[in-house]
Amino acid sequence: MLNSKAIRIHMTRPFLRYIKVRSLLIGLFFSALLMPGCSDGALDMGDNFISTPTYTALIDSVSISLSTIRADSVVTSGSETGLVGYYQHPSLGGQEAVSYFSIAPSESFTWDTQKDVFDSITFVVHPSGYSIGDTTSTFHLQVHQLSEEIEKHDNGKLYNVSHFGYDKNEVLGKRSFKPFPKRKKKLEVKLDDALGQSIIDFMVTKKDHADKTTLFREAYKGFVLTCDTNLTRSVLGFSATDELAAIRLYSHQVSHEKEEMERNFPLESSTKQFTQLITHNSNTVYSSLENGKDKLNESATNASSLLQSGSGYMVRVDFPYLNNLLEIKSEGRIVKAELIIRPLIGTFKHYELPPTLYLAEVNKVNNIEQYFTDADGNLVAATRFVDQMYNENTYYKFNVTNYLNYRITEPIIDSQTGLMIVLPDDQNNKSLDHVTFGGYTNVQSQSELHIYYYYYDTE
Amino acid sequence: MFKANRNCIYITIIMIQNKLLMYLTVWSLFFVPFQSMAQSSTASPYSMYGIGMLNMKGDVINAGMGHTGVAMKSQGYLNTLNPASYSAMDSLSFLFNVQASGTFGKYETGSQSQTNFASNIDGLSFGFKVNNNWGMNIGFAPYSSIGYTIQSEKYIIGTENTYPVEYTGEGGLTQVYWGNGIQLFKGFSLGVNLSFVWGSIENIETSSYPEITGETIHNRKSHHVNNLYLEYGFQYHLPIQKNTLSLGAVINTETNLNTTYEHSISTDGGQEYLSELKNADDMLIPMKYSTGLSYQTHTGWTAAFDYHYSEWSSFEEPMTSAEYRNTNSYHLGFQYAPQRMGYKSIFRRMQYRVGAFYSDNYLTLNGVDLDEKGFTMGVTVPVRQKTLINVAYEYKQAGSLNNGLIRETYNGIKIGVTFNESWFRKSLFQ
Repeated sequence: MLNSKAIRIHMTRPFLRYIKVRSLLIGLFFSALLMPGCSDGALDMGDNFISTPTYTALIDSVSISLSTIRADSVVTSGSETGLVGYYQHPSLGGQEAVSYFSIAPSESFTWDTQKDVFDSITFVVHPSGYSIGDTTSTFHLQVHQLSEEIEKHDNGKLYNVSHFGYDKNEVLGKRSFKPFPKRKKKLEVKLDDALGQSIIDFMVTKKDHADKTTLFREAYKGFVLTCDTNLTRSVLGFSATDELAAIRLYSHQVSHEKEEMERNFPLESSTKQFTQLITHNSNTVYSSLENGKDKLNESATNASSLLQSGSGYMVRVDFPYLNNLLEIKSEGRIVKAELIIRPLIGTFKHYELPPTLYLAEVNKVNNIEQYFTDADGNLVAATRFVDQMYNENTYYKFNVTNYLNYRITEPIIDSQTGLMIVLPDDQNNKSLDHVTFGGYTNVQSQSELHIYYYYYDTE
Repeated sequence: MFKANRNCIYITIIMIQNKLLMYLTVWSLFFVPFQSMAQSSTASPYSMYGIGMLNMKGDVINAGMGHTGVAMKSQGYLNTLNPASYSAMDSLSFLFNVQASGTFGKYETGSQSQTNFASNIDGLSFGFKVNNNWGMNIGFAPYSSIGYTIQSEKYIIGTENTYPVEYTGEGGLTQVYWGNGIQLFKGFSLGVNLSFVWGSIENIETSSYPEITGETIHNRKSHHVNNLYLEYGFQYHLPIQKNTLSLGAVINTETNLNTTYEHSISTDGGQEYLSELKNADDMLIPMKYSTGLSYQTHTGWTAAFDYHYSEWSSFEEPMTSAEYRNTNSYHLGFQYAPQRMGYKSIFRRMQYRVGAFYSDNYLTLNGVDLDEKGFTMGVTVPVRQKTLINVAYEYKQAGSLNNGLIRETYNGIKIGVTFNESWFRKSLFQ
């Protein structure tokens, strides 16, 4: 017992003292010394201290080749915008836009044959704000009635090449005016009174008919907006919605006082409203594009290529010497590849340049295989640089890094596939905007491929 | 009597267990950071070459004397500069040493400067006597270290634009050793130190392209090395009247380091451009000869001089602009220990040291032979019994401002604690 007590005392006291005094002090000492390391300031050394074999170089000598293609057709229906007018494109020649639409019977239509008196019938439309061409010259708008119904394609769409019959000489109504498209002020064209009377008769006699809508469609088919191409020098856009465009019938009732009334026959459906584009000159160099598979190389078109909304002109970019890139593949990696596409100086005003351009991969016959998208699947638009000051260094820049890195890993590089610069789909029915790009061989506005190449050594 | 004796043995065992526990606690406290911090004790840009900056070997006591000690005995401490010294340890003592350093470094170019504080566990060792003539020491020590960050830029060839490049290095070599010193006859000892050296040398070049992309490329080159490393030494202590003249020498054999090379290039965006692992030409630790001379008076004065020669010119490294040269280094140190034993004044019981050294660096860069020189001071403060707290201060200049190089100025403090426990004796006389 005595012994074990002695042991306990012996164990605790010196040991505790040992821990307390010495270890604590020493521990503090060391922990003060072992503060985490830190640095202040930076050594910014030139390469005379370090030289590594790694470097990055800009390769801008890889050839590209631009060509113009023309899609067989472009969907123009369903955009709630119509285009009408005539515009002289600098290199494509005269372009005429003709707008088709149909109307539906008014559901709330009532007509008292005793009291109601027909006054007039008009076509009411609101400008969309879009215009191209010379808007200072008088616009000569014409309305015709279709002689056949608007029939959609099997896919429910209508195209810039779709057309339906009407008599060009039989004008239902026309109006000449100075267009002020930005004002978006209502425009009204008086139509033939016979149409108004005919519609009233139809609505009265078919008032309770079960197939009133179908019969109305069969009877009145549709309308088309055209212009006098000899005199009109601009193309205007108008809003094709059932609220902003309609056939309007004016009448009055004679009872105690004269009461004026108006009844609207709105646009039937935006899917049955479309714009047809008619090319007037067939002797331009671009006329050689007979179908969507053709390519018109920049060498045939003054080292340029053009893109136009609505008409289907698009710019194709090919990399004819991509094989040469393979030689550097083993030594490094494309860090960044940029496709720089320059609008041809002197052919554009910077505010007219389309804000959005997309890029797509196309096969030999210009069919789009896939669009360039980001990780979330959204289309990637080009970055637009506008040189507002001097108008000299305006360009679109596409990031093609992943594309080229992928292309050079192909076992056999297919020189038949390329890229296509396209406008957003929804632009096609809304404008005739166009851009002419300088080709790779264009001295003034050269489009080019910039490859930033990271070279590294392997031991 | 028998019973009491058994209790004494019992107490002894408990004592040993308790102290072991304490040492293990201390050990584990330092061992963990040691592993992680042993590889960051430098911020010198020169550490990007070869196997990095070589750590000055030795105890804090050696460090205070200008890093001398090839001819000095392990008396009350573990002199790791020469394994032959272990034979002189007190036969009833168990030595445990842990030491750490903290260094303020200033790195200057012609126009810029960087300051840095780096700290590190410098070593950890256990020493004891196997028998009267045979002393043993087992421990860890950093062998070399790599750690630097340098900003630079490169031209995108073909443009007027540059892109930032950052060079960083990390890693270092560590050794775990087993040293033995045996006294063959009075005054003459032989020693052999067997160590395992391992570590990694990582150089990372990070290229960023803020102008043209968000991409940042890390080009990482790692060499992983390891091998056994041998060191042989002898010491001869010749009494001259009441004083002692000592001679010592150490040879480190040239050692090829088994080297594997890993090269990976990847981007921040997670793309891997390259990843390869392969055997590389072996790196090596060259042949090194060290000789030392010391003279110890009975009045407490010690003077020591060491000379080292290393054949670094046999070192080869592909793809660098550095040349490697053979190195000479000279060390001189003095110690004054007024009173070895005694209980009067703490200042009388303390030991005082000064030293200086000049050492070639193994690098020749841009035609400039690099070197380092400095002076040191140190004290030993005895705590309880024979436990010593050793402190050394070192001022060192290295590098050069010539030809676009970097001049380095260091102010460093080293602290070491040697627990000197006479376990066996104490327990028996409890």
